[in-house]
Amino acid sequence: MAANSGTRWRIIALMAILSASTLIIIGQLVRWQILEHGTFLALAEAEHQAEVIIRPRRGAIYDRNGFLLAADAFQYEVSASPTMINDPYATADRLFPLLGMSRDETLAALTSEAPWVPLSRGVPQPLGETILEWDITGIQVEPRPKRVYPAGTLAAHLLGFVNDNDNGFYGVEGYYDAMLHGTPGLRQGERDPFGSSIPTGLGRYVPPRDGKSLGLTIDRTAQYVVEQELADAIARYQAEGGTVIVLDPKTGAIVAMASWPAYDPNHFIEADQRLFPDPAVSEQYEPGSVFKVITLAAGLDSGVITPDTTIYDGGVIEVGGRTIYNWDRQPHGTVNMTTVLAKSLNVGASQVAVMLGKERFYTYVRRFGFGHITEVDLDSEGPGTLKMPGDPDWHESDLGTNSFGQGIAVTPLQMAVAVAAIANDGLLMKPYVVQQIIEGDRIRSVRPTVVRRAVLAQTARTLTNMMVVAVEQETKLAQVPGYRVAGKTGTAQIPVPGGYHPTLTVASFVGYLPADDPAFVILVVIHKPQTSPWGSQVAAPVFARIAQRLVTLFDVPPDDIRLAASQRAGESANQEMAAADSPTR
Amino acid sequence: MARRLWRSFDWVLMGTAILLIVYGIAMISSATRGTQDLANLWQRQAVLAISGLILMLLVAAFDYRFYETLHRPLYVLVVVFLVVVFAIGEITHGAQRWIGTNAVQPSELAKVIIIIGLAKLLADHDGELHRLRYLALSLGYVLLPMALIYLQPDLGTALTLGFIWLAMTVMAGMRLAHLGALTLAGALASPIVWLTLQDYMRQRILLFINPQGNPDDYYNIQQALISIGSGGWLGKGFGNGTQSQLHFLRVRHTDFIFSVIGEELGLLGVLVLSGLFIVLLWRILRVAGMSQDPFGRLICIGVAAIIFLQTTVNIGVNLGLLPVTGLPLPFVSYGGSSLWTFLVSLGLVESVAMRHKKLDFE
Repeated sequence: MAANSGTRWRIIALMAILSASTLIIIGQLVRWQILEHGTFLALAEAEHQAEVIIRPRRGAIYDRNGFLLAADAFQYEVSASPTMINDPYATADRLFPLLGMSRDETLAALTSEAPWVPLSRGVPQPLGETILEWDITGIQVEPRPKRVYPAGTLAAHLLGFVNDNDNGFYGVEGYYDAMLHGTPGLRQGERDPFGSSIPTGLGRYVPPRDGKSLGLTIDRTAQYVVEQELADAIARYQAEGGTVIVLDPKTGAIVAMASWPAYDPNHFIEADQRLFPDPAVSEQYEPGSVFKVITLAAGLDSGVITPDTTIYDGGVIEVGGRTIYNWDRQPHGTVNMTTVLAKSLNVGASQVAVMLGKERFYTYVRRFGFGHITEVDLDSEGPGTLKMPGDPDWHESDLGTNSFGQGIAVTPLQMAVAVAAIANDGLLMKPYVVQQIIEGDRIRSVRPTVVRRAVLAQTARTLTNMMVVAVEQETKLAQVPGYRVAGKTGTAQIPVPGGYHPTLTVASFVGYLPADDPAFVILVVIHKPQTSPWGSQVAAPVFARIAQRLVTLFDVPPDDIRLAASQRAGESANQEMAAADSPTR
Repeated sequence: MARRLWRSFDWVLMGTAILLIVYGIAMISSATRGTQDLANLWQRQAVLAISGLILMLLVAAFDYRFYETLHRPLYVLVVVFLVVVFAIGEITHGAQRWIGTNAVQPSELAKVIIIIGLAKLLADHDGELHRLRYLALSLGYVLLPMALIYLQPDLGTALTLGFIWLAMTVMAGMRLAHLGALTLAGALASPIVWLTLQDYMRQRILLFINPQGNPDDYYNIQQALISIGSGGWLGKGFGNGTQSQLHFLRVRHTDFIFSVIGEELGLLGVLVLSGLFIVLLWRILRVAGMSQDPFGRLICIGVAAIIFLQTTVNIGVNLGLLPVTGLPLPFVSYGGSSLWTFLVSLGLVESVAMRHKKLDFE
């Protein structure tokens, strides 16, 4: 047979192939299973041993009366493992209306090649629970927190917002993020390839520590009143925007603080990002004549002037080579300091600054907190712009212009806090919005903080009386029937490259009442009003309307009733009250 | 007559096959018990195994020379099936390997029938295979079904048929020069074959050359290696393989069942498995050596070739030695068509074994 000649090598070749294959396979097995066993064991461990981070619950935010301003609610995150889904068409048909996605989008996701696809991160609670009940193989439904602001835009700037990753931004959410956020917990266990953990009861478990809740100094109703009046005013005067701050001068507590236009932190993603920073602490403006209060405080406190000190106003003065005019470009002759404040004479204020000299003037400006952040407990606070003698861009003429609030920029909060110091007998308080930190049953109260004495108590009282006269004589629109109001208007031109805008202004008014025992300092700033440029016409009436509503809201009795009551109470009681009023001094 | 015939039946061969099947069923139950939809697969496999064993005995009961007379209609039947499957595939624009609802996989059937037909053809020309025309004839005989299966597209099964032909013709007396020439021709033709390959086939080969290329396929191979490698000497214990139980390992009850064995039973379990396959091949080749006629001998060689090829390729894939082909592990992987194919093949071998003595002619 012909085949026989080669039969031998054929059988040998056959055996050789069999043996070689067997040897290669066994060699490879020994290599993986014995020699590199450790490496693969580690790989396997790494794959199925999972550390699951347990989110802590973010703390809630309440107003001073315990009304809820921000809290965590639940939403569902829905995702899919397309390979595990039996009928992607039917599944897509069922899911898409609940996910808020189009049918095509949903189907595309469910038929994709990826092992895991996210579908929606924010399915509302009832819809998420419906999907959960359907229990479709390959569809995962996981609860995740969603920050909710029940009052919508109310105090939006002050509160800030929280993004999908539970990070707070701006306002209280930003400043207190770490405290609200809490400490994440940890669970070690096994997991499957889709990342779901398999509870085995083994492994380390560290419980999460939930975030602390915060109680604010804000009064929800006052905040509403302020926002309503501000929005009305902006519409009435066809203005671009504005800010109102209400402070308790005795403590520095912020009772209400609002800026318009605002956004809804529930839907911050759709909002214009330029609205996120709080104008009350992040934006600066030239304060204008309101700043004369600071200049006169410096003059009175250092003894350079008294309310009755007279100067000659020729309508014009030159400081550092720059000519300064009054707002009406008129000379007012020989006037005393009360008139300088009431009629808001630039020439008079400049003369006081010159009499003080730059050293003393700027020392007082800094004592009132300008050029430095107020350290309020809100995110992204700015320091304003204060040029100091010795700075390369400071000029001798700045002493004159700064005295009536030009060439200096402040944040609304800085201005309110400085005037609050005068209302508070010369003590500058640190402004704050959080008065309670709540951790379970434990409540820690935040005590007011004195920053420093800006001026003597006597100076503050004298200046208050001058500001009362100023309102009574020249700013009648700021008056509140039954209450003595101390205040000052400001009409600042808006700096533009190369000078000031010819027509547009920032109209403002800052004041407090009752003048002899102030309950509130209220700052009103209106940007670019078009019906009138003047602070006395635009901002003063807003102040009066807000003040009127706040004295009712907070039960501040009219001056005559209050004074009659305190007289009856007698001398000793008065002393006790005075002591109780100022526990921090 | 019957009693004497069954005396020559190779009980060791059948026993080894049963051990492999039982081993497989145990591993299938372990691999699938965490998955509700698949949890009863091992029972189905057991039912298929019992029916398959009965089928095997039935095939063995008939004289294998009876199948010789049937080879022509069987060949025609297979080709028609493959054409029908291909046509359905064209219409539905997808890979189509089944007729009916997963009932018959004609390409599996083709393996057995090609072994019978080829054995008949080569036996008819016993001693003449050194002549190119007979070699070409046998090649043409296999190329038609090969091409149809390749077009399904199923590269793995097509290559299996090619390997059966190669093993059988070499053992039937192919000349060394022809083998060399064929190898050369194959090497020269490979660029053309590359161009006709389906995308997924090319990807698998490219993936094998550059494993990081496709994260999805790379994942399967990587998971197989992690499973086997983390098994060590004795494995993590039956039902305790983290990679297979936690479903990191996909298609774990079919193509990657070997990885489950490697993970849960370790090197020892794998060596036991390999030992069973070696015994199986030895018993089949022993029958080949005993056979009195070239037809019987070639049938055994064909069956040994297909079992050897699929085992080696499947294990090679699991160990990252070969590109992913989708060939199941004979007797062990889950799947009725494959199990029946191998049991029917063993039935043929047993039929040869039972009738190897000249005495039996009566």
